[in-house]
Amino acid sequence: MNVVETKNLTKFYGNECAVDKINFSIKKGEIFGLLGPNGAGKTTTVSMLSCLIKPTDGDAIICGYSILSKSLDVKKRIGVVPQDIALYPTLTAKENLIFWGQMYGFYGKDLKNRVDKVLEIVSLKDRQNDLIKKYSGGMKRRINIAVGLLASPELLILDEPTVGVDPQSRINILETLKNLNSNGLTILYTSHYMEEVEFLCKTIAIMDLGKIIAFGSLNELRILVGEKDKIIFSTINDIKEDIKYKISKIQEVDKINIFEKSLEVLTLQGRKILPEVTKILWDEGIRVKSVEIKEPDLETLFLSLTGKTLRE
Amino acid sequence: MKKVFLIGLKDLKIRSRDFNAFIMILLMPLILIFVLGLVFQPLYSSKPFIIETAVVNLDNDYISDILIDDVLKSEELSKFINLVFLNDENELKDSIEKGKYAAGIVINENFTKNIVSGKEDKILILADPEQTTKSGVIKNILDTFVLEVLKRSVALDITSKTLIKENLIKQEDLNTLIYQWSNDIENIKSKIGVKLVNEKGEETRGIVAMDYYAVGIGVMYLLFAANSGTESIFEEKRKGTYQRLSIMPVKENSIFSGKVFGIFLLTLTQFILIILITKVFYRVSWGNSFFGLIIMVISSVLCFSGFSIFLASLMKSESQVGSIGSTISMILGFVGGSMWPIFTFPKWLNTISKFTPNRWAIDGFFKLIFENGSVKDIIPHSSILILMTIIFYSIGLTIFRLKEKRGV
Repeated sequence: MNVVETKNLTKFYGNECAVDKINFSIKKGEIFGLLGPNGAGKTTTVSMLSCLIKPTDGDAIICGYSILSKSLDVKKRIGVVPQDIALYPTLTAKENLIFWGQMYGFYGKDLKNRVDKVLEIVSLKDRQNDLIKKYSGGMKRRINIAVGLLASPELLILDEPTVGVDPQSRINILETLKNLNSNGLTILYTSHYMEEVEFLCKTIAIMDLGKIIAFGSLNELRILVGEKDKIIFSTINDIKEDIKYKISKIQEVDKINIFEKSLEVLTLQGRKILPEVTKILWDEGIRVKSVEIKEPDLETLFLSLTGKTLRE
Repeated sequence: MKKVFLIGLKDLKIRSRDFNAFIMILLMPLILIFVLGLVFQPLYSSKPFIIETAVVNLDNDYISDILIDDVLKSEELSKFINLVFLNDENELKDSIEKGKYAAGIVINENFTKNIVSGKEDKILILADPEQTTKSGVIKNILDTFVLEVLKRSVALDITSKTLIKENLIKQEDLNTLIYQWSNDIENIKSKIGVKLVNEKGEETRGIVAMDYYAVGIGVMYLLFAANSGTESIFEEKRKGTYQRLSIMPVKENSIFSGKVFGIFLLTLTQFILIILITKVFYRVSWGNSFFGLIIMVISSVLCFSGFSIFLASLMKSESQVGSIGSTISMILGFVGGSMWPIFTFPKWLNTISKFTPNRWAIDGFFKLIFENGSVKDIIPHSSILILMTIIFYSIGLTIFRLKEKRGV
């Protein structure tokens, strides 16, 4: 059974197309990852699925209800964790949760039980009476998630929920989401952190420029990349853009990506081309600090599909 | 409806914890009311000019008696001239030097006789150099009196000479006749004299500066408070909480109504606190009509909340509401009579002020405070404020909705 099913979902801002006829579905109990760089259209997609903005064209069915004609029914069945920390800093965590719970339509003992439950899930019960402004970034993110869980939703939508948090809090958040999913919660997770999506998601859609450019399970996507290796050269001095032309003359090179002090080369024969690329760098006066050959991952896939990295 | 109240209450709770908002919308107006009330009290007081005046009357004849009894002790002048009688000029000089009196009047011996017989004489005024305005007032009064005496003296001289020449009276009867004519003039004067009657009736209360500014500044800061609430709409949109509300099962109208209700609650709380604090600590009278006061408070709060929504609908960010909103609040305060008395306005400014909510709010409160008005007396003011409320809300909400549709 599909919890989410999009039908040519499209959003234009003026003449600019933010989301271009995307189609995907999310099965019940699945963690679905929407991966893509900033500006790919992830937040716009999530905003449409959350009934925050109306699509220009197309529709989506969530928990059996159309986001166009039955938005109130959709809102009752989903929990949304926005990218912003949408909390009131001068209210305590508990006051925030009570207010948002009331907005879902819960009152009295039911509300109290729900607040206690979500505080336990995010492990912040002992800090419930502290003002949000006194919380660390990671703690704020956890309360942000707790609000999304208040209504015991059938679908939890998270839009980049780990932006700006420390590694420990990130692990805590990801493990919390894994636990929730193991209890049957369906999750739509957007991120530009490839590792998070790889860690959490069973099904992944990769977005770029408003379109889904790849879709499938992690294994299916890895097959798309094939056996391509990613060779990463870290250098002491800066790499100039014109070196790209010289390296691309090597027949086996598939894609090249240049950063200030590193170079990424995608190829089927990593070990074969390694000496040739190293020689070109040496001839150009670029001193190599280290070389790493990485196995195919989502980052490699994205590079392979778009010629750019997720963090660009 | 319940969610509308909850959103409003949440906004009030957030503002009550905002120290900057507390200073801006409560502490500032209270300080301003206190300072302006204290500084400008003499301009407003029902006894603005108590002129302590000492008189040394060495004449004790009928002209000096008229000056003292009919002029200086008259009903109008006795309100601001406090007369004290001394026996000699030296004592008067000492007292003036000590600043005990603003002015001293010395009427020489035989002053009346000299004037009547056409001899030269003068009334001496001693002035305290530090109270020149007050002594100037006394000099003006005496100048007017002396001029009047001279006119009558000349008229008397011409009349008596003509009557004697025509043998209608005798020279030896002249002194007796002069007294008789003077009495006749006084009698006629008392019949046709002008009496100053307060148009508000005897029961009206004089304007007290502290009361004036409690109303004026209180009303002006209603818009500051409302703007502070309106800023939160933009603030919530910037921080994402408004969007989070939009993805909750809450109707869009309820969210906006909740925010508007929050502005109303904040403005109402601020005004009630100003009324209570000024009543308890500044001894400000807010009139005797409790229901009249409630009607005026609610209609004023509604009107300024509506005006704030209207203003916000024309703006793009909370900083614009803060800066432009404050400027407009100040302008309305000046034009509407919050900063200086409406009765001192020139006619053109008086006309303009009638287009501001401040003016109608202030006038309504003044009816209650200074004219002991009742509910009936403030119905025109509250009705105009409610009419303005409807206009402001309608325009503001329409613009906000258009902006929402356009995604601005």
